[in-house]
Order: sequence, then C-alpha cells, then structure tokens
Amino acid sequence: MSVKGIFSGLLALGGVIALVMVLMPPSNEAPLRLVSSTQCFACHADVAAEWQESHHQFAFENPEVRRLSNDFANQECLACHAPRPVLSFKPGERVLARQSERGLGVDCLSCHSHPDGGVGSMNPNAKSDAPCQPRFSERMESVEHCAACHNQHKTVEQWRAAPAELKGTGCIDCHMPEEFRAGGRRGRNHAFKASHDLAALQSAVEMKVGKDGEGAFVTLENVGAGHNFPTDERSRAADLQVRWQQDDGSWGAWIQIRRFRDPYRDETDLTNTQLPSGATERYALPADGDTQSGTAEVRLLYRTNPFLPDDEAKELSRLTLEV
Amino acid sequence: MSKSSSLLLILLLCTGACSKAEQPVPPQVELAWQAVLEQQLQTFAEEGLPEVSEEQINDFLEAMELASEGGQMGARFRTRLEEADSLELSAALLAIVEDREMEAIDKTRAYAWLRVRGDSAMMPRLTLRLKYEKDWVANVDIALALLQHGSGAGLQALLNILNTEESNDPDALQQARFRTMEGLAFLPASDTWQPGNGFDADWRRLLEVQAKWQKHRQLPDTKALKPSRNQRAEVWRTLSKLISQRLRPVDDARFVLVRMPDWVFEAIIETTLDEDRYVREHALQTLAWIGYPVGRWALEQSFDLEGRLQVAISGADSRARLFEAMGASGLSSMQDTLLQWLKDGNMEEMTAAADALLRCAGPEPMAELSAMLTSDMVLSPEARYSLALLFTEVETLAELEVPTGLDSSEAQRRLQWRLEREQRP
Repeated sequence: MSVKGIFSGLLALGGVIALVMVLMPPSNEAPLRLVSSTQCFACHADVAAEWQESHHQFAFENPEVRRLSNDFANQECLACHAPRPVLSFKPGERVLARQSERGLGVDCLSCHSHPDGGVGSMNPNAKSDAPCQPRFSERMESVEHCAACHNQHKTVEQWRAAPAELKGTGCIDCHMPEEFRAGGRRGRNHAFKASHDLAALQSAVEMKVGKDGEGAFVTLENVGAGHNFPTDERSRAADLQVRWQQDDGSWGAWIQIRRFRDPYRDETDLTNTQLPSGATERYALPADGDTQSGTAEVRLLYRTNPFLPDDEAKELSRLTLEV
Repeated sequence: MSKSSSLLLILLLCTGACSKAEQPVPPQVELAWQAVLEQQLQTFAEEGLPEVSEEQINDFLEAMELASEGGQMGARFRTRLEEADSLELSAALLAIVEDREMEAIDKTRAYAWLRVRGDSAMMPRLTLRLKYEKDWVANVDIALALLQHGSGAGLQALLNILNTEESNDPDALQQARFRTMEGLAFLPASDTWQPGNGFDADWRRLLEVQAKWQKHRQLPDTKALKPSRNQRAEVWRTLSKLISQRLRPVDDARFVLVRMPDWVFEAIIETTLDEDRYVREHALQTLAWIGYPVGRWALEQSFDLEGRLQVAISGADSRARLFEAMGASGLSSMQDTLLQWLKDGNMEEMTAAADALLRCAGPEPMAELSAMLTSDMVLSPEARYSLALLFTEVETLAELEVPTGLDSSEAQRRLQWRLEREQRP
C-alpha cells in the first residue's frame, strides 16, 4: 500500500471516530450547561418526584413562610427559601438569595450545582461523563452543607451539642435515609421528612404520665432528635396540655402545662424553652379547679407556626391517667 | 479522497467541538476590592459613642430618677444631666433603652432625655429602636429626637400613631396621639406652614415632610446638616455589621441604613467595593432597597454612580445583586451595561439585568429589547415578564399574561416596579 493510501485510510478512520464522537449517546454527550433545575428532571425523575413532595420544593411558595416573613418583605428570609448554589459559598457560610426561578424553592441546583460547572454528588463513584458532569463532593454529606441554611435558626448548633447516640453522623442520617431505586440505583431520599411528617415527629419524643408522692406528672423526653425539640427559632412550637374528666363524665377545657419554643428576636419577654436532644423534663399536672383527681388526659401538640389553633396542630401523643 | 476526507474530518471535528455549550464571556473590568471597612473603622476608631461602664449607667439612671423630682434636688440633677458630656450621656441612655431587662419607667426617661440632649452620633442606634421599641410614647420621642438631627426616619411612626384609632391599651395610645400632635410643632417650618395653625395644617405638613423624606432622604425647607465625625464613625460601625454570618446584625444594619439621611449613600457605595463578599452583597442590597432616592441624590450631586458601581462588575459573586442596585437607582445611564449583560450573561445575570432594565431603562434600548422578547433567546420567566412589562401600558398591566413558572408574588414585585417607573429620577 502506498503512503498516500495509508494516509487516506488514516484520515477516513479519523473521520469515522469523529463521527462516532459526535453521535455517541448520553454518556459521552456534550456537557450540559446547567441553568435550571428543571433540566435535571428527565434523567432523575424518581428523585425529582421525592423532592416534589418535600418542603424544599415548597420553600418559596409555602403560605406559612409567606405569613411569617410578611410575604418576604423580610427579604433576609429569601436567602434560604430561594438560595443560590450552596457550593458556591465556603463550608458553613450562609447562602444568599438568587434572582431567577425562585418558585422552585430549594431546588436541585441549590444543593448540587458546582460554581465551576457540573454537579456535586455524595456518590464516590459518580459517573463523571454524564451530561451533568457529576463528581464526588465530600462536603455534600457534611452538616456544613445543610448549616448554610439550617443553622440560621440554630439547628446545627443544637446538633453539635447533642449526645453522641442521638447525633449520628449528621443531618442526612435521619432526614435523607438510603433509598434503593429502580434499576438498582442506590441513593438518598429527597423528601427530607421532618417537621411536616407525623411519623418523623413522633419518633423525636416520648411522653409518659404517672403519679408518685409529689402527685400526678407528665414527662417528655427527647429520645430521637439530634437537635432540640422542636428545633427552629420562632416558627415551631409544641405544647403539653392536660384536661380532667368532670363528675358528669364530660371533659373540662384543655389546660396548658408547658410550651416548648425558642422565641423570635423581637419577642423580648420570652425565653427559650425547647427540649434539648436527649433531655427529659417533668411537669406536675395542673388541677382543674381545686382538686387534682379523677381521670386526666394529657396530649402533646406540635405547631408548624406558634399561632396555629389547637385543631390545626398535629397531635403527637395522648395518654390517660387515673389519679 | 485526500482533500475531501480531510475536509470531512475537519468538519466533523469542528461539529464535535461546537456541540459543547458556549459559556458567556463577561466583559473585562478591573478588579479592585479593598479593605474598605477595616480602613474606615481604623480611621474612626477614636470617635463615635464611647463605651460606658455599668457604673456610669447606674449614675445616669439615678440622676434621671432624681431629676424627675421637684424642688432643689430635682433641679440639681436636671442641671447635671444638662451639663453632662453629650456623647457619654447618649451612650449611657442608649445602653439603657437597648437593655431588655431595664424597667419601663427608666426607658421612658432615657428616651425623653435622648430627645433633649442626645448627640447626633446616636442617630443609627436610635433609628434601630424604631424596629424594637413597642411603646407608643417612646416612639414619639424617638421620632422627634431623630427629626431635630435631620432624619425623618420616625415620621412613619408618627403617621401610624395618628392613623391608629384602636388599641389594646387605649390610654397609652391616647397619650401617644396627644404627644404626637404636640410634637408636630417641631416639623421644619416653611413659607406656607408655621406651627400653631391647627391640626389640619399640621397633618398636611407632616404628609409633605414625609413625602420629601421618602423621595430624597432629606427634610424640606431645612439646610442639610453636615454629619459630624462622631456621627460618621457610628455609620461605619453600623456598616461593619454587614459582615456578620448571623442575620440579625445584618438585618439591623440594613434597617438603619435605609432610614438614614442621604449623606450616608456615599459610605454605602464605597462599601460595595469591600473585599468581603457578604459586605458587598448587603451594601448593594441596601442601595437597592433605598432605590430611587440614591439615583436622585447622584443626579443632584453630579456623582458618577455608574462609574463607581461599574468597578464591582468584575466580581461574579455579587454581579446579580449589583444589577439590582443599578436598576433600583432608576438612572437610565445604567442601561448600556445592563443591556450587554442581558445579552451575554448567565441565567442569573440575565434575569437581574432584565429586572434592572424594567426599573431604569430609558427609551433608547426599547427596540432592541423588543426584538429580544420576540426572539428565541432563552430567558427565565422572571426576565421574560420584566421585559414584557416594559412594553405594556400601565392601564393594561392586569391583562398581561404571567409566564408559566413565575410565582405570583414575583410577578407582583415586577408589576410594582413597572408602576414605580413613573417616578424615576
């Protein structure tokens, strides 16, 4: 074969290789320029479906947030309810608000987008030639990643002070359990179950009632939260209440025993009454009138905002005691 | 084969290369971050309100209590308070009103003395009391104290008191309304208004003064007071809170800065060049919150606002926030820069540029913006709506369709900007 022939053959081979490179399916697709979390949904539909059910997705539109932030007239609230990518800030530093697609709340790009392109992943074997160019980022599973927002209301500080047996290794242990998805893919759940999930709330505390030489009492123990119960400043509150059965069999009104809450900064007349991780507190059951006898019912209510009426609160526990 | 296959190869390789997404190339402007806050805090380290000890505070508490008595003793202590060093007195009285544990009566006395004897350096810290002080009468004293030092920050509190007819504490409200009506005599006089011509005239004057304050951060018919070095020192201490990782100090600083007279604008603008990303971000945000008064001030002072803000454009971190501040000024001189970034920026920058153009663009770029809107250019729903609003008459704004994916409150914000365009400097 002549030199010219060999050269022509090499050129043709090069042409074929180039053609294959251009037409190659997804794994070798050109890197995606990520501008919106909606670009993630096609390939990660199952994760997106979990996120759609989460309060991260709802962070910007949530009417409770709107009410408490005066419809975001308190603009500092925006930073965590429509954040720029956390990875573009130093670990643990707070985030700042983004300008576009705020309606998506805390979206895929908020947690995953890398400032220099591509996305961060907790998977050490991330397939880096996928269009979104994932790469392992140790920071993704650290508490600092969540602290960018969740420490504004002190939750991460509370976690740092929690006993080791309740701390786990970080936020994701409880709030992003492992998930095995179709096709054998393993990942973390993106529904972020927490204060809006009854089971998650009930796993945090244990209420007991009893009587001894000092009278009837109720105890509440923070058995399952690696942070205070309830956590979050201002917005969350839990109430212990008791009511007594009357002589005619009817029930008296609910009597407040204790409110658990960290007041907001301008509520200067209140102090922090949250129940720290691992702590137990005991309260005497207040009497209805003069006597503390008969049948008592004790309940624990949880409110996602402190002004919610009783009938809109979540009842975490109810116990009866004969005194 | 040789020629055609070479061409094919080049073509194919070129196609492969070109299939990569193009990254926008930002215009190059010189980066010039500076240790603005650090330098200013050093410069003013010896000025401003002094630290006061618990002993000094207790002395002033006792003096105020005794000064409220009649007779010679009362007179003696009133004289003592009147002759006290105004900076030391102001610092002690502010410490009293800022103390959550302090008795209400002591706070009431402290506010009254701040009104009479407070140094102008108290202005930032006293302005912050408007956020936290819930006592009606105290708010009247705060408003009047600020007024005599050239700040209208408390005028809204006076308007609120006069507009409120019901309260859980009607006696306190009644007392505050009475004190407010008395206090209107201290509004700046004009050719057409002097105190003592009845409540209707006073009320109209209050609205006039408030309107001027809102629009210019100046009081009408008043020679602007030159800030003292002590006052400027306190402003820099307020600005230094913008570095905080916790939001409360940042929020407090912004609350104060947006309510200060126009002489603080230059310090805030200077702070947009600080080396700290959070300081820059919040300084820019503060300018954006103040809005058109900054643009008006720049025009009046022939201050090159565009030139000063341009330097910060090289910092990608704060660029979107910078555009927000540029747009909020309402100055059409910003439009060329914004237009360029609307064409060349990433999604965040394009959105911020479109929003800013809604607030500041003059007639010149309208043809180009209109063409963008009808092109296949990829715009966020926010940017698309902002541009569409530019081409919608005020009367037909309600008919403009909100793009899919745009939250209703975000649409409402932009509608508000469209309406405010009529008030551009």
